Amino acid sequence: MIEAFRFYKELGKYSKPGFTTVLDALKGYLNGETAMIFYSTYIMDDIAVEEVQKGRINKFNPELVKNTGFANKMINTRPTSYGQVVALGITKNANKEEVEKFVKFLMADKNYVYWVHMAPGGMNPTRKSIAESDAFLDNPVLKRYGKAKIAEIVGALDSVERFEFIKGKVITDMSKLSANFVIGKAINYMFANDWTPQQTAMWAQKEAEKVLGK
Amino acid sequence: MAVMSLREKDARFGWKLVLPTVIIIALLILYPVFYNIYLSFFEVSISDAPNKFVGLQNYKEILTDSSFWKSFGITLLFTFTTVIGSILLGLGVALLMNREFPGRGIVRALLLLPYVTPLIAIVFAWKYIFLPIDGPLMKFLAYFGMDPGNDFVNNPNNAFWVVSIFNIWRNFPFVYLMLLSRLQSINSDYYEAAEIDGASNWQKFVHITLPELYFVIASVALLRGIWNFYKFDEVYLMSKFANTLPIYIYEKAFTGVPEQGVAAAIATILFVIMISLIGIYVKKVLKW
Repeated sequence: MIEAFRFYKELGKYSKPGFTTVLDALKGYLNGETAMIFYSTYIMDDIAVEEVQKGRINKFNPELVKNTGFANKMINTRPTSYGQVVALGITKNANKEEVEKFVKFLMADKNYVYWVHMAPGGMNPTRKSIAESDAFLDNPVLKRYGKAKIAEIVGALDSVERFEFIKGKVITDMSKLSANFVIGKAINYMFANDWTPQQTAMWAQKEAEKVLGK
Repeated sequence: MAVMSLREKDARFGWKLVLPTVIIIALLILYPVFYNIYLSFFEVSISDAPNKFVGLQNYKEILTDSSFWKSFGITLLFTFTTVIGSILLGLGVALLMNREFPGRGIVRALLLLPYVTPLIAIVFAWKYIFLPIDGPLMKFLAYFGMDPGNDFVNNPNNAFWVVSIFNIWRNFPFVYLMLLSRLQSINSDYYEAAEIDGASNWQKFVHITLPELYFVIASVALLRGIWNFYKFDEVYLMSKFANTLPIYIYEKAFTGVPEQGVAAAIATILFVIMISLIGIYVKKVLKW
């Protein structure tokens, strides 16, 4: 944890001044005020589509889609990416047969492509055959990136890791810490108070114990 | 058939007239209040499993939780600061606006803007003005050698002052409006008599203006106190770190792992505290 805070603090030196929110980060990147951001895949249309970008910053840079690269993995001890798999859950009391039919319908080739195209590039297919299919790439937003870049983003799914989910097990305590933004707050305070990574980790530890009631 | 007296008839008619209001208040206010009290004794389930009765467990948990008491202290301080602040500012402005000067009508109307403009528009305007590097105020201050990279509004350490100052600025027109209308109705004979006796401006203010304004100031303080004690929107939109009780309740009930029973218990505790504070205030200060 201390190492992660140290890394983040070093990174902060090159960051846009102030406490940036999601929207600040997005606009900062589109405006060319910052060269790199951490962002979700939902940025795809902001970068590529003129109307969307104009809606954000009132101008459009057509080169941005070509000049943007995606680091789909972070590497320290091993390559890993942050991500989230959205699943369709079937509750205990549900009409299992009918629901299964519905899930199969949604996941079927054409329908699945239609579904993920609701947010092109934001939602990406978890089925390999779909990800590689021409039908999936046949979309005005995705086309602008080209097959190779899209494949790179979808490929990150192979190395998705979460603190809350390790080796097939859900770590409930970690879910509680994430839901209460303990780590995010710690980083926020680290910059606000100019804490050392050690001080930050100590605060996070205390806060975590409070949240978990230990 | 029994003959009803006129008095009884009047009473029945009166009840019929107020009945719609009583029903609406019962549905929209009393029912949620009692349902909230009921919920505070349960561990509220967020799935379709039934709620679990836990007795006073939620209350015990809150009253021994140091972050509740910290939040409680912050809320009291916030209420105190903003009520005093907006009354002082409102009083000052009301006294100025009570004097004759050219363009007074326009200035009086403009002063109401902070209070009547939609909240969300003001919040964005404030955030824009204080934006690091690009914000107009920061650009201006940079001429005087200040680092324009400072982020006053979003720094979590500034949260309390940011929301307090914002709240005072937003609500002083309300106070000013109430005080001004009272000021205008003070009989000028009092001042003339005082002048003949040789009273200074300060003496006139302390011995005539303030006593005349006493009940208005006290009522406004009560209203602003109640409103600001429960203030959520103005606080939460400006800063996520201000941590007053309404935000504490919101976070308990709707973020992280929702504990709606605990949130209901906090709301109940606040309700009791508020009712008793208001009771004391009305008796001692408003002298009802």
